[in-house]
Formats: sequence, C-alpha cells, structure tokens
Amino acid sequence: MTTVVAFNIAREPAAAQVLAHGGLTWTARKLPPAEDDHAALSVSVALAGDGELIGVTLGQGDPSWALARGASQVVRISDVMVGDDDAATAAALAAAVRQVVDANLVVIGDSEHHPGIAPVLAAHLGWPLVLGVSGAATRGESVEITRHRGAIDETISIALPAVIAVVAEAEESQPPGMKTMLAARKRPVQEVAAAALGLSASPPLDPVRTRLPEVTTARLMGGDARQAAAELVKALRAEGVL
Amino acid sequence: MTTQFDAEYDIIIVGAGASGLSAAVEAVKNGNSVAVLEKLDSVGGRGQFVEGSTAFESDEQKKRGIEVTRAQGFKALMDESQWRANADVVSAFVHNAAHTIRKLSDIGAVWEDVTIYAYEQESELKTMHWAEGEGARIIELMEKAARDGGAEIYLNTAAVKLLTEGGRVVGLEAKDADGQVLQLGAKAVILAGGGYASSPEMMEKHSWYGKNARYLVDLGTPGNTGDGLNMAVAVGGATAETGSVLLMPVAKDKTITSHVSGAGSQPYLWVNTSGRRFTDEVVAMNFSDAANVIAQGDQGTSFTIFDDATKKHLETAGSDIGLGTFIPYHAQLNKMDAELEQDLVTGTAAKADTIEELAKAIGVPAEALAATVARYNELAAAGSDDDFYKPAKYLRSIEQAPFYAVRMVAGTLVSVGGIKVNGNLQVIADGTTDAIPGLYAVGAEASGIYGDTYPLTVPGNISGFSYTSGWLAADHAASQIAAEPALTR
Amino acid sequence: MSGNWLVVVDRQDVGALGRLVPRGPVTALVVGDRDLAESVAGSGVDSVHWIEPAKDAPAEAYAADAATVILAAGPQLVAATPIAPAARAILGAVSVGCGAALICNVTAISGAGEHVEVESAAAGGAVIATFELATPLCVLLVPEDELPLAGPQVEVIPHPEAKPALIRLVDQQLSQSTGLADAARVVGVGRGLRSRADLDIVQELVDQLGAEIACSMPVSEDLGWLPRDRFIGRSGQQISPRLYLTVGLSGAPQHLQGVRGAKVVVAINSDPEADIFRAADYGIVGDLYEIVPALTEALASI
Repeated sequence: MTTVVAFNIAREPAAAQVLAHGGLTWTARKLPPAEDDHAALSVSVALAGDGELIGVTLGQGDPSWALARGASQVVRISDVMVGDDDAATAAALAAAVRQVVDANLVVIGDSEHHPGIAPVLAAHLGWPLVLGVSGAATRGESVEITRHRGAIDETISIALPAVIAVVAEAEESQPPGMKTMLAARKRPVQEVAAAALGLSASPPLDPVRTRLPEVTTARLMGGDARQAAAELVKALRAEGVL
Repeated sequence: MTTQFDAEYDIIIVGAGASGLSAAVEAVKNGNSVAVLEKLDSVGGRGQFVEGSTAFESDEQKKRGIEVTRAQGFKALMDESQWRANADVVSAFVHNAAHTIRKLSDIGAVWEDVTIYAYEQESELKTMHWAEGEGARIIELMEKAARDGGAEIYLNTAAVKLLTEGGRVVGLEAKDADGQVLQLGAKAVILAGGGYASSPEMMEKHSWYGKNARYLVDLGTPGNTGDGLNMAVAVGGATAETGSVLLMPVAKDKTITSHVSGAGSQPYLWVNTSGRRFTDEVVAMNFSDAANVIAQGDQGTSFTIFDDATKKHLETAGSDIGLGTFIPYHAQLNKMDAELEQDLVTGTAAKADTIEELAKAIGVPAEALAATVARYNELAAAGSDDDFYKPAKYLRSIEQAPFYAVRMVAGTLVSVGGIKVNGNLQVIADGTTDAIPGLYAVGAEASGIYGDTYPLTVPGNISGFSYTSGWLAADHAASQIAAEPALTR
Repeated sequence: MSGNWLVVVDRQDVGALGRLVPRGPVTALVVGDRDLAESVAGSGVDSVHWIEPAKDAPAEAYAADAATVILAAGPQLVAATPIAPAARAILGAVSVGCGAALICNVTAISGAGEHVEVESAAAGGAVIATFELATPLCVLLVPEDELPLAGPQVEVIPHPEAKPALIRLVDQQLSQSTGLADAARVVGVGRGLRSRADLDIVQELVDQLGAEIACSMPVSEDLGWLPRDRFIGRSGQQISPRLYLTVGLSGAPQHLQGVRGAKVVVAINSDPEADIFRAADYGIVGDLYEIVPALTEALASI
C-alpha cells in the first residue's frame, strides 16, 4: 500500500506581491513551500513506514523539495496551475492521486489560506477526512491522529483509505542539507499533462480585480474595561483562537 | 577540468546579511544563477540591527529639500579616514548610494525620514535615511526579492575555502547543514561574511584595540568570524586598513534599551579604574567616539558617576542625549530603580551614601575619586570646564546622596574593513594592483571606506556601504560573466 | 426551500448568516446536538436540517451524508466557516457533488440568481479580491463575532438516516502546556508593567487562557523579571502562536520580528500612539491594571 503526499500546492502570502494601489501578483516561479508542507512531509514519511511514499504536486511545485525529504517519486501535473478556486486545485490533485497504484492514504498540508483543498480532495476520492492534524501514527488498518481544537487535544482514529490534513506547529526544524537538496534535483520526475488525466486545461481562477482593504490598523474595542474585554473575547472566539 | 562540482552557479555569495542579500537581489535581476550560503540558521546577520542607510542626492533627500552632495560625502569620508580610505572605493560608494535607496524602495522599502543621527551634532551630514521596520525589514524585503528572483539560499551552510585554477577563483568548498562537504563551481564568488567581530582572536590581532579587544562585548550575531578575510588571504588576497570597528557604549551585562545603561551613557562625570576623570564626556553624543574612548581605558571600562538629583532629572526631564531609536532624546529613564534591584547585586551599578563608600563599591581608590568629584563640583559651580572643555550644561554637580556609579563597557556592533578591494569591489592580489579574477568582497568584509575608526559624521554609512557594495559587485560580476567566452569542461 | 445553505457545526457559525442575507432565505444544515439545532432554528434561518452525531463520532464523520442532504435540494450557494473542521469537510463534499467552485476567506457576496460576485481577503488579508462566478458555488466565509438577533423559531428536520464514516473520537483532554515555542496562545508583557510583583495579575490571565507567558527584551534582559528564554524578539525567541496578546508592550520592530508568524495579535496599552497598534488585529487602549483583570473574568465566564 502506498502513501501519497500532496505538497507545494498552496499560494500563500509569502508568494504574493502587493502593489501600491492594491494590485496583486504572485511569484512567477516555483511556489515557495507552504507553511504546513514540511509537517505534511514528516507525517507522511512516518505513516508510510516501509511502504512507498509518492509525492504529488502541480505546475508551480518543486518536485525536488519532496524528493529531498523522503518521497521516493514525484508526480507533477505540469500544466495545471494553482489559483483561487480550491475545488479546481483539489480536482487536479485527485486525478494525480488516482494515477498512483495502491494508494490508500493521502497526506496534505492543511493550509489556513486554502482550507478548501483537503476537503474537496477527500470528497473526490470518496475517502474519509480528518483536518487540523498535528501528529499521526499507524494502528494496523487505521491511523490514530492527534489535533488541537482551542484548548482541547483530541485523539481520533480513522480507517484507511483516508485523507489526513496536517498543520505545522512550528517552522521546519532541520531542513535537508544542500547536498541532499542538490542530489534530489537530479532525480527523475513523472510529468503528466492535464489532458492525459481527463482534466480541462482551463486557466486557474484569478480575481477580476483587487483593492487595498479599508482598515489596516487594529480594531479597537471601546467602552469601559468590562465591555471592551467582553467584545474582545467575542472577536477572538470568532477568530477561532480561543 | 578535474573538479567534479556538486553544482555550478554564475555567482555564489558567502553570507546572507545586508551586503550578501543586496548582491543576491541584483544578481538575479541581472539574470545570473545565484546561490547564497549562510552559516547561521537564519538570514540577516548584523544587518538586522541597523536602523537605516546613508545616501547623497537621493530622491528621499530631494523631496524633503535636503541637500547633501556627493562631493560633500566624498570629502567627509576621506577626511574622517585621515585620507587612509581608498578614493576609488569611496567614490563608487558615494556615487551610487542614492541608487541603493531607490532600489530598496522598488522592492518595498519605505523611508520614514532623512535626518542626522544624534539630535545636536552640527558636524553630522543629513544622510541618515530611516527605514520603516529598520534594517530587519530591509533584510526581509531583500530575502523575498532574492528568492522570488530565483536565488537559492542555503542556511547552516558554511563556505570553507575558495577553489582556484590558474590564478582565478572557480568556486568554493562548502559544508552543509548535515555536515556534508560540497564542491561548488562559480564564475564569481562574492565574500559578504560581515567581518570578524565575533572572533576574539581576530579582534585582538586586527583591530586597533589590540589587547584591550578582550574587554569588548560583542553585541551582534555570532557568524562574523572573519571567514571571508581568511579565505581571501589563503588564495593570495591582500588586506588593508583592518583595524576599524564600530562600537557602542553599554552598561556591563545590560542591553542598549536598559535605562541604567542609558543613564551610564549620559555626558556626566566619567572616571576610570583609577578614580580619575579622563575625557570631555560630551563625546557621549557620538556613540562611536564615546565607545572608542571607553575601550582604550584600563580594562576597557569606565564609571559614570551621578547623584540623586541627576537621577531624578533623568527620570523626569529625561535623557540628555539621543541614541537612535534605543534611547530617544528626552526619553524618561524611569525604570532605573526596577533594574537596580538586580544591577546593584551583579556589579553593573553601585549606590552609596558617601563618595568614599561608592569608591569602595566600584573598586577605585577612595581618595582619588573624592578628589575627582571635588574638582568636578568646582567646575560645575564655576560653569566652566577648564580641564576638558565640556559645555557647561552637562556639568551637573554631584552633591546629593545617594550617589550612583554605572559601570560602562564598549560593545561591538561590527568590524569594518579587512580585504583590500578596488573600486569594483574586486579583491586585490597581495603585492600587486591586480584583481583576483572571479573574487569580490563587499560590506564589512571590504576595506576602502575607513581609516582607523568609524565616522558618525556620515550616519548610516556601514549599512549604506553594505547594500551599495553588494549590488555593485553583482553588477560587475555580471558584466565579467557576460564578457567571457563559455568555458568548456 | 431556498437555494442558499449555511453549514453549522459550531454555535459561532451562525454569525456568518448576515453575509448571506442579500441572497435571500437561508437553510441551515446543522451537525451537532439538539441544543445547537434549536438555537440555530431561532436565529433567522428559513429551515433547519439536523444531523445528530453518535457519541464518539466527530461531526466530520458525517460529511458525506450531510452533503447528500444539501445536494438533494439542488443548492445554488452553500456556505460554511472554517471555525470547525467538520463544516469544511461537508462543504468539500457538496462542492464535488454539484461541481461547484470553492472560494475561501469570503467577506461579501452579492448578486442574485446564477451570477455571484464574491469578495475575499486574499494574500493573508493584504488585499480584497473580487471574483465573478456562476452558481452552484461553495464559499468559506470569514466568521463574524456578532451573533444575529433572534428570529421566529422554525422547524427542525432531523436526518436519522445519516451514517458516519469510519472516524472515531478516541480521547479528549485539556491541552497540556508544552512550552513557549509550540504554545497556541501567548501573553507578552512589556515595560508598561510597573513592578515585578504585577506579573501576578498577568499570570492569572495567562492561566485563564491556558497560555504561556513571554515578554519584550527589556523585561527579561534589563529588568530580569522573567528568564531569558521568555523574551521574544530579533535576538530572542521567535514564535508563531495562534494568539499573541500583549500587555503594556510598545511593539518595537525588534520585538515584532519575533512574532511575525502569529495569527492574531492583540494589544492592550495605555498609549494610543504605541507602535503595537499598527501591528495588532485587535486592541484596547486603556489601563492594563483594569483591563487585564476584566479580561480574565470575561474568559472565565465562557
């Protein structure tokens, strides 16, 4: 049975360039790795165990990034680019996953900037999904995951085949050394065209226009200490950080 | 061709600080393939601590109606170095610094103001371009622009030695984060390691403080161990004017944001380990000169003496000097008591009801300190400093118990100078006037701007030189690479 | 039944109802207990479809069957918020079921019928992006903290036929503190605190939040009130908590560099000009000696 890790498929703020009057462009080259990608890689390596780990990415992904971190092979759909429609991104990933023989587990970073990709991917595959995962271990035909929801830690068991979306708790602690990264670049990559997978070649979704937001400073809570505190608590609950 | 390279680049840059990242941004803009090797686990080096940059005739100066000509800049730098600076290098810097400001604006830098650094230094030129978010923001913007442009930045990766063939540099050997050794080919190597201030041995050997260098406290990041200097010398590079270091006074074992340190930095009575006054303390207004004075003294230390009335003055009216963003002019130093709880125990400060007891607490001869304070109070009463000519307003008497002493030392910010370069930032071969093909040194690694000391008259000059020399070297390297016929391997 | 749906898994999800109002009546799909279903039924929706999860089945185990309920109605616009993972899982299944695009961080929706104009916070909120899309459409909305005013209590339609996938909740525990580096919530103190003893007031807030305490450089390095491994900044710790709440901290650039990765920054400071307010998402200008205890109390009652 094969584990698949989807990586380098999220357009995150680090890759964005905001222009003076609210224009937005994205880096023309390969996307930088998303914040959660390294955590997804290390979880997928741990879950793959002695089995194969295949990486899957799209047009702006850097295959060598995953090859340097434990993927034995990478499949890249070279002519599908990431846009703002998470459903389109996920549909392409699902098509790539279906190319992998004997895949029974997909691990992906649970990007807070693209929270829709993992859910759509799981639905395409028809596999159960667990999100926001911080740790995972195999337990026979299931995987046991841990995650934090507010002040609660949950342990959840999910039967395979499944999709697991991982959040990173910190930055990557030990990126691979330069020698490993350079060697990874020399390894072959399986490049696939969208047409070969039955995917449409439509361009990625981009906005028709962008503008700068009205408020850029802090939202200040008014009233006396008690009122302000109550308002703040409400706002923080809505943000999902309490 | 005998060397098997793990990878080959047009340009390899050693060090991802202010000068290295500036070189990287320019190099990718020029279409070169670029690798940046950074020894530490994050980028920025000492470039994270600067507050802005220097320039002459910049857009930012012009739009604020500030006139500082390139000619004035050139003259100031040459004069301040006692003409030991290299006019080619100074000229290249002064001519191009304004372009640096614009290049940084283009990648998102915002310049909040252009002023002098201290608030009352007539001799300072208005060249300090204050960056929003300080040097750290500039580093952030440069790193992004470099990466977006395709530069590969490798952390925890150290350059070990340069590789040469027939007198030209063809690459270098490096050690990566896993300890693996790599041979990397390059058409040009730019040494941007930020000097040697992290190495006590090199500080003692190269800086003009000599043996007193051991008393300096390094305030910067740990990677500046003179790797560029050592690698360049190993392949026959020349050194020049290695002695200048940028220092800053700081209270022993405190940071520059400390209020006790701020009090110790004031232009009040300073005494040495013999209990004697030794300078015109108005030098406090120029932190570089002030630290030079402290660094020369016995054990590289001095004590700032003041009484309770002056302490209250500092707590209410505030600081009599400005130290950039760290201690703004008139900042109320009202956390002294809270800090003294610890500082009196650790020996950073002392407090006593008599001068004799104070002398004992700080370990200076009691009679000498008493005589010094008596003489100082005479000068204060007379309103005239006949010993060291300090402006009368800083002659604050020392009469009201309790009395305080703050132990001051000199903190190192960065060494400035080492490798001899020409006006293109190319490294010169020792004993010749020729450049070593394929080798550049920039920023604090490179000599040519300074004599034996760091001039605050042109504030922001080391950061300005770092950014400017970085991209100038990248441009020159690009032109050389374009001009050469393709080498066959 | 309208073509507009809102998936509700957390009580706070209902706050997003306001963004859907321009489109007309909204049907809610609730996965949760009866109390949740009843409260949603009185929040201004047109009708409520309800799935009650089994005891050890997390809500997301019902994603496929919840989507089936929605898809049966031929939806035009289906919305959820990212507060609870299950809502996203359901939305993903709906998207695949009707071939809908899925847009995130949505702040506003306009346009009737088949053509929808959607605004979203793009590039981490740096710009507002506008998209023109066709229905059916799925959107993940930015949550709202104000809950809507009560509406008439509508019918709750249960769906006992919904079955969970093989996902089982094994255990639930209060988070144990794992140290500053990994902490989800951190409280940072600055020199606005008058004395070391006042740390006690802050510690009560820290405990109530289940957070870790941290500080600006002067508090540990100059004042020695906290150990050196607690200071955040350029030459100190660099952390990426979900919540960074500052108390009496001015927000110097060197400090802010240590929390660049924080998701939400809150500032409590008496100086409205303090730099921290430019970096914060939320703030209270006032006396920390009043606000911190009030905040501790407000948190205790949720």
